[in-house]
Amino acid sequence: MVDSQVETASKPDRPWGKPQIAACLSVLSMGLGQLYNRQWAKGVFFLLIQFSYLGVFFDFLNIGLWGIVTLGTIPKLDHSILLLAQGIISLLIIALGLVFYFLNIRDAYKVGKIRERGEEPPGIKETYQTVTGYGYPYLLVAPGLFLLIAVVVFPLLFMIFLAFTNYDLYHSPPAKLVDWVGFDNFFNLFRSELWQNSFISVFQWTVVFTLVSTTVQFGLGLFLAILIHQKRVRFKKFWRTVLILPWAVPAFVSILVFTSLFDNTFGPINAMLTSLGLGGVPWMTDPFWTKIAILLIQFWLGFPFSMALCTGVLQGISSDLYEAAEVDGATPFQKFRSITLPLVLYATAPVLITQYAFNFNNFNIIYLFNEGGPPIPGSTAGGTDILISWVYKLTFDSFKYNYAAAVTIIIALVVMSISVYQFRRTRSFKEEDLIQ
Amino acid sequence: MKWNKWLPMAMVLVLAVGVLAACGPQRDADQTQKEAGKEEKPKELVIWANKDSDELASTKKLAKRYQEKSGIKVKVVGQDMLKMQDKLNLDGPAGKGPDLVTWPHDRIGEAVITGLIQPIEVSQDVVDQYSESSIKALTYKGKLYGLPKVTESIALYYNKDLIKEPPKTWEELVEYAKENTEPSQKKYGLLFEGENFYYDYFLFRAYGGYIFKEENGKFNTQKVGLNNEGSKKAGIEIEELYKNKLIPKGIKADTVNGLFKEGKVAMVINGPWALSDYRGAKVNFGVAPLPKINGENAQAFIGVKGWYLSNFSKHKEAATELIQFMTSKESLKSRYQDTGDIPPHKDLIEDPVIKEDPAVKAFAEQAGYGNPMPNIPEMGQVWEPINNALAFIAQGKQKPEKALDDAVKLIEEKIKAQKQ
Repeated sequence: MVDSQVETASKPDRPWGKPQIAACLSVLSMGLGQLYNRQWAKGVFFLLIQFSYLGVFFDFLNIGLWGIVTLGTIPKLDHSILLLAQGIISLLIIALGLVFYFLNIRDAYKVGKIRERGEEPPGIKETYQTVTGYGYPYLLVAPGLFLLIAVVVFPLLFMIFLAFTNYDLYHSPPAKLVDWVGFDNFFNLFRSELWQNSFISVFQWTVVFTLVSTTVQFGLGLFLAILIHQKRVRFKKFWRTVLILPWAVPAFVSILVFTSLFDNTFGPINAMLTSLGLGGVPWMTDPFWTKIAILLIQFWLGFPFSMALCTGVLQGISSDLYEAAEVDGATPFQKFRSITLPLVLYATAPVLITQYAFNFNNFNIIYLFNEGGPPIPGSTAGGTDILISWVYKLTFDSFKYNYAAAVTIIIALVVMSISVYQFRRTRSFKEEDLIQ
Repeated sequence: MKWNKWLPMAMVLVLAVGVLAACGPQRDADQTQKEAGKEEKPKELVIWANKDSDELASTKKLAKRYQEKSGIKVKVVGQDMLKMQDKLNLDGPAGKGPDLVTWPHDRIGEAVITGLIQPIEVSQDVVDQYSESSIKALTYKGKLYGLPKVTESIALYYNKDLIKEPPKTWEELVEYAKENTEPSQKKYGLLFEGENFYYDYFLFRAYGGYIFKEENGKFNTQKVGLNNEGSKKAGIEIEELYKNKLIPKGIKADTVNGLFKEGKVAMVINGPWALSDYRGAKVNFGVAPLPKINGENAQAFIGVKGWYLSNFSKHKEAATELIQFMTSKESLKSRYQDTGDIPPHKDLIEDPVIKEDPAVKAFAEQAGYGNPMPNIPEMGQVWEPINNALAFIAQGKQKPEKALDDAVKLIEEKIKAQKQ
């Protein structure tokens, strides 16, 4: 089926050359442009794809698109949340279809160009070779991509859409329909007295917790890694194993154990302090001391990971650098500052940034240790609530799913913009040849 | 010739709009209307039961009996009781839902609002079989949504080695605690989770406090009574317990249980869920109803679980019959023997099986005096502020009057936000 007939090249001033006609035909229906280009097999194949796509998905997309626009019209019969989900899936399927559709138009245009130049368009064999050759990596990535869409993109889209609805207890299917409300949730959030009264203090503590816990856990990890890395230290493997243990125990188990260790009246920590003559510390009931306890626990939970990371990097630093520094008469501190620290930070910066982002939303430790408590008189937030745990309290007992989604978007925007800014500033992604 | 490039794009848009314009399902609004008329005898009814193994086995046994009796097949499916609502929300409209469901009664309000369950129609004789408080628990806005099978209440556990007979009144109990508490030796006269409103509610009730004002069998959520005269008096009473160091600050139920099992505590206030734990620890203990307070029987919170009629059931009458069978005297007796759950059935409480077990008798008696936790969703906004207020009172951070006023203000704001 190779197109053997070579047409004469069209005049350059003619607006409707072969590429344009082919592209327009492809717009009308997938494959028409290809047929016009005399690529019969490809054209028929594209036509088949298009009709089977429409045949299989038409009803689903029809209901899905209608559903996402109206969110249902008859209560009890239409389940708004299911319609929303179907609508999002429809959008994803349409996006996928459009990708192929545009590829088809582009292909028609390009082949048209080839024909206009008077060359022969690629035949079926060549096309097959091109597709399998260039397309092979994409073929391998495809399952991963679909999985990513199903488990990451879809829930994210769902959450984003929810933030613009009135989905709460009183507007909940099957009894009631959910409606689109635009940006109302975001405005109402900031207008509500409940949110105004503690937002600033919660935000401050969130930032302090994030900065202090991440920085110290990294510093501690780095310090221990360097210590163990010293030539004079013996039983290196033993020390590493012991120090990695906090990481090996599931965090929520450790946190619950710490909760009982820090108990005001019956906890072993206060018992020890009392027997030393220091008196008990109100770990669970005084906001200041609860914050200290949470930070201490987070250091303990977090340092092994940083230590493992830094150990890996340290082992990769060439000893030549240190020998050269010694010849130049550098002190140990100078060696640390000018060789170890820059190289370690350079290699670990991306992980460090993700750790900051992780601690910003570190719900586990806050909630499991003391449920964000101790309570503060006249405030909806406890003494150690960070944004995410506070939002959880405010929205989940009152079934305000719409508010929860709205706040999550705000938090995500904050974390993402800071992370992106930091990522772009670190050299890790710019100079790729500092460590060879 | 740039427009040449844009022309295909414009055509795509036209096509897209054309597709969108013709969408939506074809249907008549009438099709939602249920056809009225006599319903036929169903072939099968489905029950979603709690997946706890004893309970599930007992429910299956009863289902089999009903099948033999009526000829209707009853299928029992074990489900996580607290996730049943979420599951019914999706399975119900899809036509895969059950006829009967169960969960703690304080979640009935949510279920009615989201349209998951429907009122049942039974004769007054049937309703009268059960304790009034348990029927009230299953009633939402004046309509009955099911029949009760279990009731739970807190009561007074006492260590027989330390105290032979529990005091008859609350005032005597506090006196006893004052004389027999020595925190330095971890010795206590009376312990309970005093910073938890669930356990303190009977004190509020005793002096005239209430959560929401009841008007014509409905709760008025605009009127919160947790800072009225009576509530403040209860606040002072609780403050005294902590001020006199009768109860250590911040104590939780786990610690209370631990100390009671070590034999350090003469009396604790706890629910029937602690029974097997205490029995396992070989404590020589007895259970009594809470002592009289302010001259009257203590009204503690009770929790009720019943069988409710799913809103998606296609066999309303048959399912209602099944509910009546599942909560009949014989069924509840069989259930009690299998699971130890205390039934709110008036005749059954007088039955020898229950009367002869002193612990169960005490819980059943106390449950009879109790008030069900409000089953409206606004109750969810009460717990945290009031518990925080109790913590402030216990720790001496705020005076009871101020703490309760603050809590009520917060509760009102939260309810407002919930309905926003």
